[in-house]
Amino acid sequence: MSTLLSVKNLSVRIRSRDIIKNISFAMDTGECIALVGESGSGKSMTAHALLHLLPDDTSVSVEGTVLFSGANILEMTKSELRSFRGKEIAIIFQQAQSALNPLMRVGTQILESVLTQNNFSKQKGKEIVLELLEFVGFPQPVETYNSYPHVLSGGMRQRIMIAIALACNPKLLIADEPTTALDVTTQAEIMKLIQKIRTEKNMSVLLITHDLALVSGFAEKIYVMKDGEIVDRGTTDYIFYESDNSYTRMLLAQKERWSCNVR
Amino acid sequence: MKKFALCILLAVLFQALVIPFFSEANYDTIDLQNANLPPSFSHLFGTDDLGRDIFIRCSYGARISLTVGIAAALVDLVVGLIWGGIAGLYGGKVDEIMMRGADICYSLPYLLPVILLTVVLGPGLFTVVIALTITGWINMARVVRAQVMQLNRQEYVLAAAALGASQTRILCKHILPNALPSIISTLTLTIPAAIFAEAFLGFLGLGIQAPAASWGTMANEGLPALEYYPWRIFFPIGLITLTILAFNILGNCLADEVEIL
Amino acid sequence: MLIKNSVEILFFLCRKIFSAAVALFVIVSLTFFLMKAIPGDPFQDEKALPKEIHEQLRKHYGLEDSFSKQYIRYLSSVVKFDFGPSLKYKGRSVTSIIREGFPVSFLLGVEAILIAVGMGISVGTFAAMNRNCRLDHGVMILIAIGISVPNFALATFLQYFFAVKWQLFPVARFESFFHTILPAISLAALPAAFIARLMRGQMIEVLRQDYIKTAKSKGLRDSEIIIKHVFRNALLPVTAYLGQLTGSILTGSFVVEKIFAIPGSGQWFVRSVMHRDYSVIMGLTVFYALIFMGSILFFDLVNFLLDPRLRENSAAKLSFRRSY
Repeated sequence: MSTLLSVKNLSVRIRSRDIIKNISFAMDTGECIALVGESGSGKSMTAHALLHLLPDDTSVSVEGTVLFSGANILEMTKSELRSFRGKEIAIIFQQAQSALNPLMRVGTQILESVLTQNNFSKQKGKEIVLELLEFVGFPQPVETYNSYPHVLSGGMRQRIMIAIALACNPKLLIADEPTTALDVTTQAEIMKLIQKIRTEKNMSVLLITHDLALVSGFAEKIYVMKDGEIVDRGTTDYIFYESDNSYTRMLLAQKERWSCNVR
Repeated sequence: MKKFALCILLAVLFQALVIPFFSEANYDTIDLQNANLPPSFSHLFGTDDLGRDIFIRCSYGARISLTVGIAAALVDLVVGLIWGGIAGLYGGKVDEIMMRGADICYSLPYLLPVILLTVVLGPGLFTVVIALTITGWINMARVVRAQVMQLNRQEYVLAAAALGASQTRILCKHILPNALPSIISTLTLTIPAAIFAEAFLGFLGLGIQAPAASWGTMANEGLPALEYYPWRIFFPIGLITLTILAFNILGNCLADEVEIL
Repeated sequence: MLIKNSVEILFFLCRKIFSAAVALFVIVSLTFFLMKAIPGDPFQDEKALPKEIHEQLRKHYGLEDSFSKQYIRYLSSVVKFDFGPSLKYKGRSVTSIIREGFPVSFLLGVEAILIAVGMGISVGTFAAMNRNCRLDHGVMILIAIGISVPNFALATFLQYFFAVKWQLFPVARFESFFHTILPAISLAALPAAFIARLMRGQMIEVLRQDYIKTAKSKGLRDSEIIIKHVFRNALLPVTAYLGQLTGSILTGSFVVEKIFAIPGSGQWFVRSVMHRDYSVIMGLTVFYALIFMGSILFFDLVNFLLDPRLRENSAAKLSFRRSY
């Protein structure tokens, strides 16, 4: 298996504060890895930095290399980046409510993704979108296509986000806290959908979350982040059962406490 | 920015309050021999067609325009506070009816009823103030209502109520002080609107009567002479513009700070 | 879907027209009461009339009838839109006065609206795109000045420098297209500044939103993002303001027409107010109220059509299959 993504010495400074301090990790094709940490640990920032989505002004400085299939994302020109985003790497954000344009029909927003990277006709694009809608679980794709975001529930909107991300069959899907804004049942459904994507579309997934419980049945490797640094790394089994890193232990203990209460 | 605006306002205030005391001439001192003189050292802003010194007249006019503006804004404040406060506190049907009433008042361009009222009540200072307050309170009422509704839901209000505080006490001790920043910034933006409306009325000839002068009526008097004696209209108009500008800048700065709060 | 949509639109329209009608009724009645509250009548100004003639005149114009009779007559005249003759300019009907003056004011108004919207949107967009650099600050100052300078001040200024002194434009009257430029600019300045400020604020707000991030992550070009996502979303609150804008231009016309000696309905209104010409005052007030409310209704409808969030669509909440 070849290395799909290789992050080396990534540092992000915003207004002279170090948000991400020199982190390195790698991912193979077909793998699923997780970046775990509490809020403020810098994991979302990492996701944004990977796609060079951080604002382009003078208060932000990004250093290091992000190699994807050999190409350094951080050094790409604007037009190279454009053909890269969506086509090779796609990202889904945490708050699907605000991540969708409230004035555009949902189907059009997915269609936009399809047509940006491909030269299909509008008709063919629409067919692809309807297929996608069925894939992510909408029983009536045509009605969904014509709906606006505000009539959909949180879980449905997240599925739309996933459909947008899948539109061009990217090699890597970055899921930035995909379930945080959802209730527990919907969380499970979304994770099942992501699992389905992994197996049926053979996609690599980078999962970013603060919820260790989510990760256990899912990722092969886990990287634990704290205050912008990676403090622990290893396979899932290692992290859960063998690691003696104090921070990891603390996170695991929290997870235990929580799942006890839930029961 | 704020300092700049404050300086202008202070200058205008100074002119309004202090200058008239220091001059021998009065705003109605007629001196036909020196009619229509351009600005000079003895007549800083020139003279009008009756020889009256325009600088002095502007100073008296400043008094009137500022008084009218501030008085109208204060009346708007009181009416708006009461209306918006009641609507915000009681909510439901009361709120709907009250805001519907406000909306109906709002659905005319506000100067129309102002002009009509001026006709009914006859010209004069009092008329202008009353007329200006007809539609000006609506904005304040809306702001107050929004603030009251928002603050009413805050937890410390609930806590106070749970501890047995009366409605009035909650209103006075908790809601009003926290709504104060928004209210003050709205007030600072109501004043220039009132000054503008007063100048507008004066310019149309519906305001204060001669020989007293506000900036608006002075502009009206100066209009026919625009081609030959432009200073007669430009000084009053300049003062109106500067004062409104200063209040607007101040109000906007305050509004920005309120948002940050 | 289309049928459901049209029904919703119809309901919305009915609701709005009803409240507009109520407001109109209140305003119309208020105008009547106000006019009746004025002491004296239009014939007082003229040289002392012998008592009998004065009384005859009053009877002729129906001013001697009971209050309720006058009110009913007034209401019916509003419905028919026939306010009878002008009390000051005998022989001219109010409707003919309106018909003569309004097209002029309307033309000027439309020109002013076009200038205001065009300038406002472009300046606002420009400022938002160049935020926080010198250009943006310059624009903000310009906007502050635009909002503060009264329209009659600007009109005087423009007339003096551009017409009288430098003779680039005609000074007054309404004879050609060139005559309309200075007045239209004076009317448009304040609304343009308002729109610019609104547009800039909205665009900045929209640019902060998450769906812009989503659009970027899809690989869209910056220009595409601005046109398809930012612009349309930012424009929405501006359409809501356009109703109010009409009112501002309407009342602005009173002073601007005076300064530029334009024979529009604004001048007539001021004149009738000074002369206590009741029928013209009432006719013009009702007319203006109609125009203003019509435009607010129109722009409310436009807003409703453009913003899908305003439609309830609760029936359209999709069913969902729980599987996996």
